[in-house]
Amino acid sequence: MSEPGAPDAITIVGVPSDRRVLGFEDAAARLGLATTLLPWSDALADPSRASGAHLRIESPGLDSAAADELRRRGGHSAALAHGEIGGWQEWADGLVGAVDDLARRAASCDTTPAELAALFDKRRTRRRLAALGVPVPHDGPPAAQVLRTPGRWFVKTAHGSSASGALAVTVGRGRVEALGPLVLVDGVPFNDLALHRYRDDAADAVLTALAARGPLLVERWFPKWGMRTDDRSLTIDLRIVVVDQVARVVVARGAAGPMTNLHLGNRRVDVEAVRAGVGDATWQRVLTVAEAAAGAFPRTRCVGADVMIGSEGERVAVAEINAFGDLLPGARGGGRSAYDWQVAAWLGGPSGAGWAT
Amino acid sequence: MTISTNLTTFGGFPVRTVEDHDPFPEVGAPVAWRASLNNYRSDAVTGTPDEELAGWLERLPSPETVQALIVGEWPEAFEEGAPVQALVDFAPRLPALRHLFVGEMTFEECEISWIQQGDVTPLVEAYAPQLETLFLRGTTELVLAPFTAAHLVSLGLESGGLDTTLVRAIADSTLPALRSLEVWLGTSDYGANASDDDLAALLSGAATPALSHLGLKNSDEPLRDVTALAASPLLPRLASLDLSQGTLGAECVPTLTAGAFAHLDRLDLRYHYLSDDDLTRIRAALPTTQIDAGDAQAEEEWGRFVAVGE
Repeated sequence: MSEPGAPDAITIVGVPSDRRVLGFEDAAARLGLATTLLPWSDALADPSRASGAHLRIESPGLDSAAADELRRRGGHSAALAHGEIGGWQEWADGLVGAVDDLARRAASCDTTPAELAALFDKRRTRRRLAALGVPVPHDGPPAAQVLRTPGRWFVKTAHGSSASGALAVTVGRGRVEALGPLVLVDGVPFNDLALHRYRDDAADAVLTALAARGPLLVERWFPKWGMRTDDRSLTIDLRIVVVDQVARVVVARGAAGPMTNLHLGNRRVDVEAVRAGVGDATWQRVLTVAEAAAGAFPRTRCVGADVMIGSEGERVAVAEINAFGDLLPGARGGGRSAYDWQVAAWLGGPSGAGWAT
Repeated sequence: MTISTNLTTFGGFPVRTVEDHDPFPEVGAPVAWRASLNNYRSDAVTGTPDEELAGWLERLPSPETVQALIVGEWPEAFEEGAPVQALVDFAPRLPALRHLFVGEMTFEECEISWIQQGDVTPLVEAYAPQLETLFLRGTTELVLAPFTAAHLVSLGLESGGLDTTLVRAIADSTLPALRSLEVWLGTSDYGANASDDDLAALLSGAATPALSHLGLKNSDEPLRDVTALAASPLLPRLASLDLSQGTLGAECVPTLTAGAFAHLDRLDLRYHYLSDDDLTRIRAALPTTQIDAGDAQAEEEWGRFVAVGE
């Protein structure tokens, strides 16, 4: 049961029936933590519902009406078609403002508006990480010059979820190629599940369309380590759920291309196989870097750190930190799910090691 | 299957990578040394590909004993051609070299169509008399004249799109000891343009009297390939055929099952667009052939893709 000083009950601000909410509620019920749900739609209509509560902020993602409202509050009023890339900065601004409204009335909150704002902006995340000495890919040229700068670059939207609007770009020898999970429909960029390749003028069109949707961030393409599994040869990266600054659950994702996010149809690979492949020294670096990165957001109880291993199997770098990065169905660390670890943290501290070494 | 992993063995030796200006480690047994020269990773790497590789070669311990060598990344490989001159200049100091791979980079290090090669004819001339294994990855700007290599046993050209002149160059070479030839034909998007004549010349087998394994891989013209194979003097002499990584599908089944392929000991069809029924029919027609058919692909509305098109 709860340690002295731990809250008696947690109020989840989330979307009813969302598996994120159900996952946390299930773990809380098993481990003896009382929870109550404050739907995002209610929280937006009446933030006083958070008065005196201990808040867990969940993603409003599945509630499209709430997402529209948040975007509207952030200054984006146009409707967005499904998969259309846009409005992310406004969504983030709206969400940060809404969390501010709730947190100032609450007894406690598992994040802060300032840290959420930084988490939602990849440029601000990078600055925080770099200030702490956490390895990140090198800066690239300004987005407006990327197609004229020889090299291999990763272009990302500054706001927005992983791999949405991301492009791997190679520039050289009078030729340009951009590869990414997006398509243009009448000049408007949309997310797509497949990777598409754009050359020369088409690459220019895609980048221009993307730049019109919000600020872009350009990094040097960090070549990632790969592994053979079954008949396939896959590039690997790792998602580490860090709870109260300790790495608790690790998931390894494999992809046939430069983007490893699972929703692109890529796949989980066996974490132990990755660990065996890169060796304990590199594995420890991965966990250490994830924890150091979480340290850039000290008042956010749980973040999902995307960590890359370099192609030679030794260097590590942080690709991204996710505010809502704990939805990893079936994944376990030390026998516990990401939700178990967070409930244990709310109850006043888990016992035992984080990632079994 | 994009190329996501580096080789761990080459020529029968474990691969040890030495990066940039790092020291060479002590090793207790012969290894395949691999050069990885990346100016993004190390500020010390400031030279041209030839300059950097020359410096790396100078530091090779006991070069006269080195039997296997891999050149992986070189600086700005998407823009600068392979360090052929450095290898040519160093040839006299590698008398024991038998296995050479130039361009052994993953997709993440440099996509295959972006690997800039160059005229490798001097390289081949310098090393042809002694090599048993030669692999080149990346055929952009690659120039190769027909050559003679008396002891070459295994040859591979890995590409996203192979120019027909390279097919012809191999067809016109003299490779009396070659037992394994692997050619990635690629896709026309990336320059694949093998003519029927050049392919027929290659499949005549005239250049390769001892060939027992052929790979025509990563091809987006599989029907053309199997049709040419079925009519070729080479196919009956092969024990093993690799048609993997391409867009091979149902249209190839009649040719594959008509008899010309039934003598094969092994047929590699991994990464393909065949249905389970297609595979059943192929297996029935080739009952004594070991067929590897993993990594089945589903054709999407945008069509089929070769495994390594980029």
